[in-house]
Amino acid sequence: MKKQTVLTAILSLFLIVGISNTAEAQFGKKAKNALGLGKKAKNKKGKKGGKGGNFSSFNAETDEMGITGEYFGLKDPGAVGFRFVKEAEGKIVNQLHYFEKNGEPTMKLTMKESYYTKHQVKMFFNWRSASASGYAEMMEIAPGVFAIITGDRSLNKYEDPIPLDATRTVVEVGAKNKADFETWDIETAQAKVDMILSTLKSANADKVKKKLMRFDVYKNYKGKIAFAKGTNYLRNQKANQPTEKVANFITKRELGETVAFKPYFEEPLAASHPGAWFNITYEMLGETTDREALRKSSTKFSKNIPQIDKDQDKFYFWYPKVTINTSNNVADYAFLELLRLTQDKLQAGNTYDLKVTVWAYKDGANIDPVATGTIQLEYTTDENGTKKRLFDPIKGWVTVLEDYLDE
Amino acid sequence: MKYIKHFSALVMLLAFMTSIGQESQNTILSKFESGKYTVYKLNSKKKFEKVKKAWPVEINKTGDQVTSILIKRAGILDELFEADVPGYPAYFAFKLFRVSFINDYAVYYEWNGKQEAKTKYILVKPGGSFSGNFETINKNVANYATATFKNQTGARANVKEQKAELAEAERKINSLEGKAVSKIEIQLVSNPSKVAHFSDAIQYGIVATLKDGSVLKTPNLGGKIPWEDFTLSHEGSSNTIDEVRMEEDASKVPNDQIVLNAAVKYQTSIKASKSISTTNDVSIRVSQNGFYGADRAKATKRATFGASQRGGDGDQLLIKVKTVKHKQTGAPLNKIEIYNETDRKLIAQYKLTPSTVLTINSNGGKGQWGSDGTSNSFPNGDNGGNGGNGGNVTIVKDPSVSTLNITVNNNGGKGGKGGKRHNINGTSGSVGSTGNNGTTNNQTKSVSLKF
Repeated sequence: MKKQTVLTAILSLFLIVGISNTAEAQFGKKAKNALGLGKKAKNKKGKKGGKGGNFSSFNAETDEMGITGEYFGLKDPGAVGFRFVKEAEGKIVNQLHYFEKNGEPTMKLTMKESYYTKHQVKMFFNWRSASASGYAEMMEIAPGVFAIITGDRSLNKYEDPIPLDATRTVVEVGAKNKADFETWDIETAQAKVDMILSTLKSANADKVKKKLMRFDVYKNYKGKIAFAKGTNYLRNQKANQPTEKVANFITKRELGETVAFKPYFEEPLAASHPGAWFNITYEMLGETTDREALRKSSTKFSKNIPQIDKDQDKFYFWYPKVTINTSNNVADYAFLELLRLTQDKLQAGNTYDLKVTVWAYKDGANIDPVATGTIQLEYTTDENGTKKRLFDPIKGWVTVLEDYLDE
Repeated sequence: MKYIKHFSALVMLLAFMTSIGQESQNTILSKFESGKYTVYKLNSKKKFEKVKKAWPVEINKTGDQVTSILIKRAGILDELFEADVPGYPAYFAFKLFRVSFINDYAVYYEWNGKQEAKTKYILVKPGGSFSGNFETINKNVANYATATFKNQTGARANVKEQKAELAEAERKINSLEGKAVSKIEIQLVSNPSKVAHFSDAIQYGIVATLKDGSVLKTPNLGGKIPWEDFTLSHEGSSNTIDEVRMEEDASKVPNDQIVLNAAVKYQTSIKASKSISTTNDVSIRVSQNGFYGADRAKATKRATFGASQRGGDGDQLLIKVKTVKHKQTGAPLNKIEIYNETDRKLIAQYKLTPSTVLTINSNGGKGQWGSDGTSNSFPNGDNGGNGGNGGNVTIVKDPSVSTLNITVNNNGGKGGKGGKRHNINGTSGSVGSTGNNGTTNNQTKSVSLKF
């Protein structure tokens, strides 16, 4: 019995090691495929020291970018050639030609010119196919050192690299001088690429904000929360084009009816509070409920109040939130809890201020408010109004919550 | 012997967790100095391997408190990690990465919302040592961080207090509290072209003039007076800061004007008021259509069986209209009350200028589709559901009404599409029949409205 257990354990170990090696091998293959390096390695072996693989003559060439030369790989130490080509057939092309053997370039990568002219970032890209795996990018991270990058996005335009918010993974480092590999390993190259991207993203955010300021909605509501009678009034079709109509926003609503809301931020959370996510608090009649605090208070709230960990890179929530949505019977449990806590103070005919705050939340605490808004909620006097919606003995929002918490 | 080893390891782990759980980074870092740290990176096999170059690490302090850690990655890239809670840090953060010092080394890791750490590097101080595997380091650093978060209550409260103090100091500078105010004035950010039910918000702010002649404004007018300085009591609109919207219910706008009222909280005798006459000229559409056949169960709260459900009927409506004079301008206004006789519910009370369009929709709902034939046994497609009937609308005009721009749509709903036959032995279902149009009955008689 003991022997069998030991054998099973050893077999399992082999299986695990086998799986991880396979994954590693596949990843390596993918990385090489990005620039066809695997193919080159095979050719070299086959040719037994033929012409391919020696690009030392490139080192004698000069170009205005200082790129052209013979490069070596960190993972694949074979030599390849890089040549910056500014003009071809009388036209400015600004391309990086990548050679695995002498003659025609194996790949021609296009420079993202605005990154260079505005930020002196030398970045070249190529779409071999429309899928994410067909994308290759090379970015200079130090003089004579390039990071070779893959991305997680499929083609949108052949003329453009993947967007700045895409995930870029450094899979290889190429350097003119092999001694540079003492400094530039994959992780350090990735860190440098992330730093460069951070600069580009920051500049892009400024550009996006400038564009957003053309929209009345953003101009008037940044740092605030807009309310509407339904989520449809707060939706828009295209990113960074808040076309929702201010005329559809509301400042007063019957208590128990649908209230959708959308916060607009001065800057994306990822920029203002890196590593934070969103939290929402509701305040009315001296009571406050906090989504994150409730999530941690019980399994029932934890199950029904999901973490808001999207949209950190956006200037507003892509999908509006609701306090209550009667059309699909959805409500924020934190808002319902507020109603439960304040129910004894609520009276027909009165109007109450509901303050909603969206917070930057990190390590169990609300750090800073990023948007706030107040809407007035009116407790209607008619029998089928607020009273029925909140306190109907079977289906009232507060009744349902109380029954659920009492289970 | 084996058990003794395990027991010792467990005791050491517990001792380690107990000791580090109580200490902030300030305490732990008293045993560390700036210098070149030996770096171990996690390789693809989840083993730590030594990096060729040591990384310079600078520990920046203010008094006893460590404010930041500068790590020069590979000696060339500056990464400045800042304390999470100054006074009692659990970690130092740079973008999405964190560094916590424990034992003889710093753990450089990623953190996720599930309170889990993923170690990337270990930076060992000069002369220090390091041993351990990836999982243990992850657990240790996560345990340390979460335990320290709990001990941060005091420090966090201090930070909160400091922030509150700053905010309070800022508020006091800009607040009217303790200042001699001579007058306040309500100013509109821009003049609204329409003031009506469902019109755009009216944006306003408040300007306060102090006795020394200085002028302060609310944020939306370019100043910094907190809105909390004022007590608002608007009439005919929402009672909200920054912007107001005219009430949707005309009974709540008794004098055909919105009156914005504000008083200084600290000197209640200092008040301002601004009246804005209503224009009542935004077109309104009221829809009380019948439901779509497929929604029958949801609408009637009764179970239905199969498709081919009939659409719901449009609601029967009674619309009463009386012309009165605008209380501010004297221009004619139609007072309109819409009562849903099907639901026995008052739907709306509006005031509109005679030329403003009021559209009433009380169409019958469309019938549901018929199911397709499913098999040789059931080859026939079902007929589509019939459309619902349009609602009957009665418009009662007071003799005072000379013009009413109203459009009533109370057509019968279209029949649902028939189901397809399964094979040539079956027959396709037919389209459901269209519902009957509702009637629109115009009456003229004396109307009494309660608003």
